Amino acid sequence: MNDANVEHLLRSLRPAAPSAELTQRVERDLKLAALFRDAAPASVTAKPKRTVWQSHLTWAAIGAAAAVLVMSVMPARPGLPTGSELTNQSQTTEAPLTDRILPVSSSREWVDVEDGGISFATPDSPQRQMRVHSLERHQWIDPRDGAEYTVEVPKVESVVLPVKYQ
Amino acid sequence: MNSTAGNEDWQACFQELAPKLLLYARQWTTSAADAEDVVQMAFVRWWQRNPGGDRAHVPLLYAAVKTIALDLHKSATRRAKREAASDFALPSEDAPYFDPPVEDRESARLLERAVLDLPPEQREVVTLRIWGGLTYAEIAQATGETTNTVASRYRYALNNLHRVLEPHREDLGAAPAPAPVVA
Repeated sequence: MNDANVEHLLRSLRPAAPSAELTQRVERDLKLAALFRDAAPASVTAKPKRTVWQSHLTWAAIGAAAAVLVMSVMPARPGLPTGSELTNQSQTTEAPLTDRILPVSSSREWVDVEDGGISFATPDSPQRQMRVHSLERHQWIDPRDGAEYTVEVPKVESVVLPVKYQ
Repeated sequence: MNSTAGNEDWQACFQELAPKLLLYARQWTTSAADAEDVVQMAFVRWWQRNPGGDRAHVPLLYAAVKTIALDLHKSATRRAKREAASDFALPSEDAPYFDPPVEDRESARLLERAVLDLPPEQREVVTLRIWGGLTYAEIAQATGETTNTVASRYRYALNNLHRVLEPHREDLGAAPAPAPVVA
């Protein structure tokens, strides 16, 4: 028996066929990917449903916009590009990431709760101070290549709960 | 990919490649079901990046299968350790690697056993060469090894198989190999 015989014997074996279900699963995944790709521009521009955590982001966005406004009216330092120059430079690059990715999920995970003790707003209305630590997690996907983007935002909120004595 | 015209394209490509990919994936997975999961993930990713199914990129598909299978194997190993510690065990599975004709079932089992007993790096090259139909250069691209290394491993694998199968020559009914076609 020589090498050619061994190769001939091996080639006589046919690899086991996959299950019929596998083809269906691949078809489903490819259709889903095509749907994501086709729907990408519309979904990104669609107004998302407003949730509680977004109010914080809104305020952050307003702050960032104010900062940009202040910077734009400040006199430009020599040697540094102006705001319009920066804008022109950015326009020549690729489309912004937010135009290409789809939001997938937003979740909030409670991490810890600190008990700040009981205080009195008025002599007859005790209240408990709580500090709630949480982690917001936002995920996006780029339908073109399946890349996933995850942003985690730690949050601390102070909560005041009225206390009633039985 | 055109979602309607491309539908037949991917199916034809998948029908041709899936058995080979499945065989390759099973080298690193504990079950046929896991291997199918690996092939599903790898093929979908590959087709999205390579919508026409360009055959020049097939070695990359095998590379993707290996990467995903190894990742899955690592997590499966961790899970198996956890389950072993908690008195649960992974179900064992013995699905055949090949679809042998009924009359040759014993011979097929003998050959399958011989291939499975090869060192993993030799088995990988034999799988890609014999059933994947890849050239040495393509195997080198898929495995990240040099062409010389790939060729050496294939040579060692054939020697090992020859040594193991020679005593069973009669059982295997080893017919002379077809004469090579000279152009």
